[in-house]
Amino acid sequence: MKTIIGESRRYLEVDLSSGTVRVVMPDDEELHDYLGGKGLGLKFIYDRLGGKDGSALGAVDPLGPENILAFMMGAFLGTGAPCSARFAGVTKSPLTGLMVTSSCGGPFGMALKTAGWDGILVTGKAHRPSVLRVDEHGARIELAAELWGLETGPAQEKLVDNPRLGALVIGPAGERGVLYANIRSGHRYLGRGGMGAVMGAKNLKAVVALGRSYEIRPADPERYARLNERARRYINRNGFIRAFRAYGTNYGVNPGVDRGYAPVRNFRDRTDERCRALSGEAMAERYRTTHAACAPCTVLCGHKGTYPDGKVRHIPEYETVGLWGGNIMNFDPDLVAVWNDRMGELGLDTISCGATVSWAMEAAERGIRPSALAFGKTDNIISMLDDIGYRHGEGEELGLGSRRLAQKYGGLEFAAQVKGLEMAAYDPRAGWGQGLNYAVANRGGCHLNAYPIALEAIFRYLPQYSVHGKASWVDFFEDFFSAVNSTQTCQFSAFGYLLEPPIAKYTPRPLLKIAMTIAPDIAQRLLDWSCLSGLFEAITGRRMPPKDFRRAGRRTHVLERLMNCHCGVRARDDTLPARFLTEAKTKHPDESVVPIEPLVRAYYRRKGYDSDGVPTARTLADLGIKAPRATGAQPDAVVATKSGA
Amino acid sequence: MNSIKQTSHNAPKPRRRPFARSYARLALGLVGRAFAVAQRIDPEVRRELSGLPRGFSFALAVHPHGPSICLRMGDKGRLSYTGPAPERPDVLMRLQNMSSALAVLTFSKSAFEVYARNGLAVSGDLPATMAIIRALGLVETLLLPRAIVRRVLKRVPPIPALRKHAERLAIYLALPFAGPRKEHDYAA
Amino acid sequence: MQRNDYFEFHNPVKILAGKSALDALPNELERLGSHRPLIVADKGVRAAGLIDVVMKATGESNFEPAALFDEVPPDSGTRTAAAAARLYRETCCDGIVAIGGGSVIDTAKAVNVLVTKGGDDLVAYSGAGAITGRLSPFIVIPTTAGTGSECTLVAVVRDDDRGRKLLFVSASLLPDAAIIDPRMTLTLPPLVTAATGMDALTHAIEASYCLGKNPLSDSFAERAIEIVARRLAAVTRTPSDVDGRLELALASTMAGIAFSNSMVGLVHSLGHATGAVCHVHHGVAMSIFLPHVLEYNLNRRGAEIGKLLLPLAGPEAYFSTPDGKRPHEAIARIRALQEELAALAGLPRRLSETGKVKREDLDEIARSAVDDASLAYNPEEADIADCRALLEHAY
Repeated sequence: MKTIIGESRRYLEVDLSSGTVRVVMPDDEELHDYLGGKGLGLKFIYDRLGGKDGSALGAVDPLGPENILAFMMGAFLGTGAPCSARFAGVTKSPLTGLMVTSSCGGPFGMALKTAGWDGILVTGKAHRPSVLRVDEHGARIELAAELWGLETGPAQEKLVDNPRLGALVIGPAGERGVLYANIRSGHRYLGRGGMGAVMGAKNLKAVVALGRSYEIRPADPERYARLNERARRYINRNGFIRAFRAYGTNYGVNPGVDRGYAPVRNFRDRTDERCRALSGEAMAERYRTTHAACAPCTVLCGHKGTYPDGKVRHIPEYETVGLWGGNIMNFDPDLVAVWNDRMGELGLDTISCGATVSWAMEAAERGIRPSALAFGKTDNIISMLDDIGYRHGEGEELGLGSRRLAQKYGGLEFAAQVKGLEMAAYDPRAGWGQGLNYAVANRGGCHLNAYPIALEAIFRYLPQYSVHGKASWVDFFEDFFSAVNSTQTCQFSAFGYLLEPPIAKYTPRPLLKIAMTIAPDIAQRLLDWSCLSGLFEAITGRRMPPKDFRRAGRRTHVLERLMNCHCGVRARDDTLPARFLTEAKTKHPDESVVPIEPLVRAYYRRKGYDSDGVPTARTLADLGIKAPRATGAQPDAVVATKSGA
Repeated sequence: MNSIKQTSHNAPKPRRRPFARSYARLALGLVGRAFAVAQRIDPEVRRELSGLPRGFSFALAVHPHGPSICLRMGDKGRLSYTGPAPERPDVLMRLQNMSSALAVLTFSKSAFEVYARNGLAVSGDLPATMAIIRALGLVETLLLPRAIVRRVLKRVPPIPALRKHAERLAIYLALPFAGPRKEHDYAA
Repeated sequence: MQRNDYFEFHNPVKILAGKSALDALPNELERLGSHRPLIVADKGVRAAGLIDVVMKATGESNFEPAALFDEVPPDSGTRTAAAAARLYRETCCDGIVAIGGGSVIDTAKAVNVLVTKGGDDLVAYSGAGAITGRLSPFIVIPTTAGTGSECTLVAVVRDDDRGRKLLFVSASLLPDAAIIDPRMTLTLPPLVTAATGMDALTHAIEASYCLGKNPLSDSFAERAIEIVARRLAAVTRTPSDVDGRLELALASTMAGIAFSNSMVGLVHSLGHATGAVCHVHHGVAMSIFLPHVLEYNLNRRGAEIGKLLLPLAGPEAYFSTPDGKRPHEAIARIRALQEELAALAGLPRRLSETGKVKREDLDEIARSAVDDASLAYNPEEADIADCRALLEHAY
């Protein structure tokens, strides 16, 4: 078999309008500066859509043919490193009008990388519904024919008829332009920001890759084997990861009830004892769950179980359980799993869909907007999901997301979204760091940006109701997670890499807590991610000391912010819905609102943004972020395979 | 990918050669130690190997699972015997099977001849290998009686008799103390 | 010391030879499953119109190369190979067709390693036996009748970062097919014809007495020597002799097969070193050193060298020469051939005649020669002083 060492460095650029396919190869500098995956995807899009100085990005219509949808495989993919089945999707989101990046597992990444490609950039719009087929020789555009209109499961079944194949598909929601439609690969999803709608707007039903033409080998197998072993040890002994492994992400439900970050009644109440019925522990017992994860996964948070109706289903993730449980006043875990499967088939993001539905329920209760939906009413949910997915009846409007609805009817103060992206199932009043995280995250109301709630309310390294150290940790984890999402390994595994090396592990916990709160800069020095950056070096053969690794993450994050600023983001957008800033009294005994302004100000200072939230020229120069590089037609670029359509 | 190894009940089993193996191990260990000592006391061996960079390691192994030795150029330019071969030495000389190994290690055939007959595979820097093989010839001359050396070398290096005997004595006396040296994990 | 109890002989290269051999290229590519080959060549090949010859011969077929890499310099290196590999990947090629002489073919071999094994770092694959497994489809169309690279498992490429030669030895490097068509060698100027012919002769002669010799390689070598001795001077005199060209090209291939299986000795050690230090043409260096090294090896290989007289001079001359004089007569015949070629094409007979080697360089050449791996196969040991003396003789 042919071999690829680390990465093939080859990216396919497919223009669906003209049917041309060409191969682009980034140079050493781009690969060093942006690592690959999410980082390099953003850079590619910036270079292609930014015009002379980046400002052209603002005018790009997310659903227009000019938008680029990038699927980026990271360096780890295919090597068998821990949690290395992951790849990134990058595009301009129709839901937020900003850049959106998403990380996904499943079989597609493995198939594309072993077909010899590190990524695909899709641009243009096919004249008729199409499928993009990729093999080791290039890409071919085929008519989607009878596939168009199918839900994701049947479409995948039709497309993937041999184990070498991996597919990305959209469902009816993506075809019809539901603004939070997602893209499916196996049982995993490129969930957020409406990538499915972008794909649908390009008339692209699916991308199918024929893999196993290449074997992926690390550049330094000996060092790789040693670090791989160490990484597994770190991940396996991390308490947080072990809890996820046992109970899935729903391990977070019980602490949420105790510490008050559970979303209840459209984020009004912060806690409800009945939510415990949906906890990972309760579901593990009820459904006798087992692991269900991709082959290289080491965290193993995905589970499946047998439901009372005899069917085996994937257990919904915490966000789905939170938003479709307490947040709409449903406490029946069986129903959540059924809805979860349905949304998967339709191709809907469960978070945005859930938060939009809960907004509609509260709006109806307050008499702002009439709706068939009501808190606690579960019998019409499944038909409402179909309506949303197929854009029918009331569902058609709900497909626009909570911000657009609130702008039309009023009720922005209780629309749980930031910059148009619905918040995940963590009430920010339970952790002010999480509040800051939601306010400033590049994607919008994204919990994974820095995920400080894990430190505040799950690990309890940082006090929940305090501003101390929060800006610093959000800053640090943004950089770090951006880097993790560019090498493409699992964000959860990062806790293993960070907290299990000897210094962090053997510093007494109270001491570490104090250090993290009052001297976050010193505490950050105690953290050691050389195992992760070393793995990257061993795989790619490129030098990447830990310091450069974080810098690359920071560069990626600031570039994304810069691109968002070109799309219109300013300081006024970096805030939370009024509910979290004014309603201190909830069912939870602790009274708290997020003091967002000082937090954001401190954060800007750390990140090197000016008072309006724009990265300063000095920050850009320090990080080496340059103006977009013109990528005109290269004379040596060649059509890979003739298009079939 | 690890697959489960399944062999049918009547599949022939490999016939091991424990004596050959033990001899190969013994002889290789001897050569490894002698090499390290000779580099310290013999100026010509030292000169031949002076072109090797610090940290350079070379190994001689019996393929595929036989015994192996590795020698490594220390930071002060001193060669030390470091025990079995690591996964990736700078130069790896592999005796392709037990027969070739025995032919070389019983000094009944020259290394060149075995090399010419594909009994010895070399991966790594070939000019360095040539220097190592020349040095190996010198070590053999120091170690063995002339009658045997004549058989395995194209030409016996002219070393003055007195020096040769003195060095031979020194090498044999120093052998028990010559290693293998446990070393720090230099790859890290 | 010579005991023929074990040897290996390996020649999986399919050879297509003849006056219309090029026409078979599309079929061969199809057999190998390559639809988008990369053509590797150099500027000289392109300027001589040889690529047009290939395209014309395959005109009425589906042969459609995906890309052409014609930037192989005479002394090709790792950077050239990496650049060609990049083009291969960018244009989604699935096979390689090398059109050219030794440098082009060796570069193409290196490119094949990179595109199949991955990465850009050739150093990791250098050495003997470091490359294993099947490489991508690879067809060679030689344009010089000398190097025999189309049938050898060796590639020599300069390490551009460290300025030394990298040697690759692996059966995986062997091409899948070699196409020997006299149309490709017709335009060779007389001097190059003479030099490459002497190169082939050296391969065959060294193959027939060095340590790796075996009965199978001997038969290829003997035939190759016979053809070169009979044809080389005539073809140098009349370059348009198509039959002679074809036979010489075949002889070169046979010599390649022979030495690929028995390896070469001291002539090549000296030749490689002279090429590296003073950039003397490989064939010229071979021609200069051949008689001197034969004399040097007479002690150990007198009988084998004596037998060379038969293919060199024919049966009458062989049988009319007494046994003890045959080795010297064989060397004399080679010297006579040299003289003839010098008169016909100006082929240098000694190092000083090349105009590139200065006496001061000899020490460095000698130092470099003893580190050349082909010395291992030479029957007689040679140290720096011996090499220096030989160089002095040849100067």
